[in-house]
Amino acid sequence: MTAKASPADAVPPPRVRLLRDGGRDLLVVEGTWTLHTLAPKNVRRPLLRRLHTEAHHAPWRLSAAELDAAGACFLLTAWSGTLPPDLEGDEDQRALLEHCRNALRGDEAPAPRVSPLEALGTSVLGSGRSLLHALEVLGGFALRTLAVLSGRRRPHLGALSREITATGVRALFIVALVSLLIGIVMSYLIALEMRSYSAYDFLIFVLGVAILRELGPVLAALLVAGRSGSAITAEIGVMRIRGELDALRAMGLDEGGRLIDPKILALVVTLPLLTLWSDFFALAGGLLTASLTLDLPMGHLVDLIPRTVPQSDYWIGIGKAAVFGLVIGIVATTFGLEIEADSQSLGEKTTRSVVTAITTVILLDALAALAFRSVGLP
Amino acid sequence: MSPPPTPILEANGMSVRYGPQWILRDVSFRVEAGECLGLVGASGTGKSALLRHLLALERTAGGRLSLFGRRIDGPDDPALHLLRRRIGILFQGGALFSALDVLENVALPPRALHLPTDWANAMARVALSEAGLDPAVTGHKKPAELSGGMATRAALARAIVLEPELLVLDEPTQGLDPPVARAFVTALRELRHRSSSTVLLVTHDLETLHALADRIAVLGEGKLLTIGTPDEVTRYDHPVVHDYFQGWRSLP
Repeated sequence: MTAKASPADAVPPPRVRLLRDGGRDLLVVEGTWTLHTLAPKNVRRPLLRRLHTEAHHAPWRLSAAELDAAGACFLLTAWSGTLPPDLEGDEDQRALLEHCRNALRGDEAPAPRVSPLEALGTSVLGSGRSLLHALEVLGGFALRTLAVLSGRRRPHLGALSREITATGVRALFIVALVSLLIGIVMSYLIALEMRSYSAYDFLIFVLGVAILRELGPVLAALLVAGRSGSAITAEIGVMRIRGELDALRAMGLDEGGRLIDPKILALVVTLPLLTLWSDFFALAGGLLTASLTLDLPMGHLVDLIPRTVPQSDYWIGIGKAAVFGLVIGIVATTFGLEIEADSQSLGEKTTRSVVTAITTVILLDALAALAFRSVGLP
Repeated sequence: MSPPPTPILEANGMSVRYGPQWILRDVSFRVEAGECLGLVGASGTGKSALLRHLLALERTAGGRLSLFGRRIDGPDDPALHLLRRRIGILFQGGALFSALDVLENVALPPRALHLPTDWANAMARVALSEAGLDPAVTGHKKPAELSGGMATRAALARAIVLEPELLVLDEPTQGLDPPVARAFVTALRELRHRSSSTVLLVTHDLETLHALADRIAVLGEGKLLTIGTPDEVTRYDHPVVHDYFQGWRSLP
C-alpha cells in the first residue's frame, strides 16, 4: 500500500510510548513501522528525534504491530547503527533488527578524498597518456597508409566513401550557411570604413586574405570538429562498450584499416574541399555586401581578387585544412578508443574530444601564421 | 494476512503488435497474490514484448490490463506512477546505472521517495545483503567492475529494496554459469520464503523455472498456448510445449 492510498485508520501509526512497568521506565516501539507509515516527513521527523535522543536513556521494548526491513533500517539509523543495550521484545523483530544491523556493519567506506595536487597530477598524466595514444593512432595510420600507397595493402574504399559522405557531403549546407553569413558581416564592417577612403583594392585584399588564408579553413575545421569529431568519438566509444571492437579483432579484421583509417582519411580529404566551399560562400557574401554598400558592379570586384590577393594565400589555406582534418581525425579516434564502459565516460570523452580538437586546430593555426608570415603577404 | 481476492496482475485478451506484425493475440491470464508465475516460450515468441506491455511501458494493440485490481488505460495512465512503486523489476542484463556506484543504484528507489540519505542507504545495504552481496565490499564499486552474477544480484537488490508487492524478473539467470545461477536461484527462493511476494518470472532456463515457478504460462505460435502448474503444463499435449519441456523430468 502506498502512503497516500492507505486509509489512515486501518493501521496503527508508528509511535514511541513511555511505559511505567513495575516501577521502571520503559520506552515501547509500537504501531506499524513500515516504509509506508514512516515515509511522510511529519511522521518520521519527531520519531527520529525521540529515538535518537533517548537511545541510551531507558530500556527499550519492541512490540510493533508490524516491522519491515525499511522500518528496521529506520530504527537503526535513528540509533546510529547500534541496538540499545537491553532491548526487550518480540523474537522475530529482534532477529530482523540483528539481520539489518549485520548488513549495515562493516566499513562505511569513506569516499576517497582526492587532494587538489593529486587531481592535477592525474589530469596531467591522463593528458600525457592521451597524447601517447594519439601518437600511436597517428603512427598506425601513417604506416597503414604507406602500405596502401605502396600496394602492400588493400584500401577500404567503400568505408572511405561512406565516411566522406558523412563528414563532407552532409556538412555542405551548414558550412555554406555559416560562411555566407560571416562573409557578409565581415565585409559590411570593413566596407563601412573603407568607403571613406575609396580604398576598394584594399577592401578586396583584406577580405580575400582573411577568408582564403584564415576564415575558410578555420570555420570549416571548427564546424567539422563539432559535427564529425564528436560523432566519430561517440561511434567508436559505443562500439568499444558493446564489444564490437573486440569482435572485429577476434575475427581477424583489423579495426585500424577498416574503422579508423577511413574516418581519418575522409577528414583529410573532405576538409580541404569544405574549405574551398567555405571560401566560395564567404567571398560571395563579402563581395555581394561590398557591391551593395559601395555601389560597385559585382564583376569589377570579382576581377580585383586575382589581382590583389596572392595565390599562395589560397594554397596555405587549403594546406592548413588538410592538416586540420588529420588532427580532428586523430583526436576523435583517440578519445573514442579511450572510452570506458560507463555512460559518463562516453559524454566526458566526447566533450574532451571536441574541445581538444578545436583547441589544437586554433593552436596550429597560430603556429602556421607565424611560420608563413613571410609567404603570400606584401 | 489473508491474500486479497483481486489478482496482482490481470491480462484480458491482450494483443501485442509492432507495426503491421502481430506478435501475440488474445492473451489472458492472472498473476495471483503470493504465487510465482513463470512465463516461458522459445526465442522470438514475444516474452519480452509481452512483459513490456504488462508493465504498461507500451500501449497494447487490444485487450485490458489490470494492476493490483486497477484498470490501466495505457502508458500515460496517471495511476501508473503510484502503482509502479509497488512493482520491483529486475531487467534483462541488470540495467544498472553505470554512472552510479552499486549502493547509489540500490538506494535510488528510496531516494526517489525523498527519504533521508542515511535511511535510504541503510535500506540499500540491507537489500544488497538480502541479494547475497556484501555491501561493505560491493557497495562502492561501479557496475562496470562487477561480474555478471554480481551485477544481476545488485539489480535484484535494486528491485527488492522497496519490498515490492510484485517482483518482475526478466531472464534473471541469463549469462550466469550454472553454480552462480543456482546460487542466485537459492537467494531468490530464500527471499520469497521471507517476504512471500508475488513474482512474475520470464526465463529460458528450465532449472530456474523448476526451482521457482508455482505456475507456468507457455507462449508460442503468437498466443498463450497453455497455463497451469508445472505438472499440468508438461503433460499438455501440444508439439511446441512437448519440444520445449523435453528433458524436464530428468531435472533434479
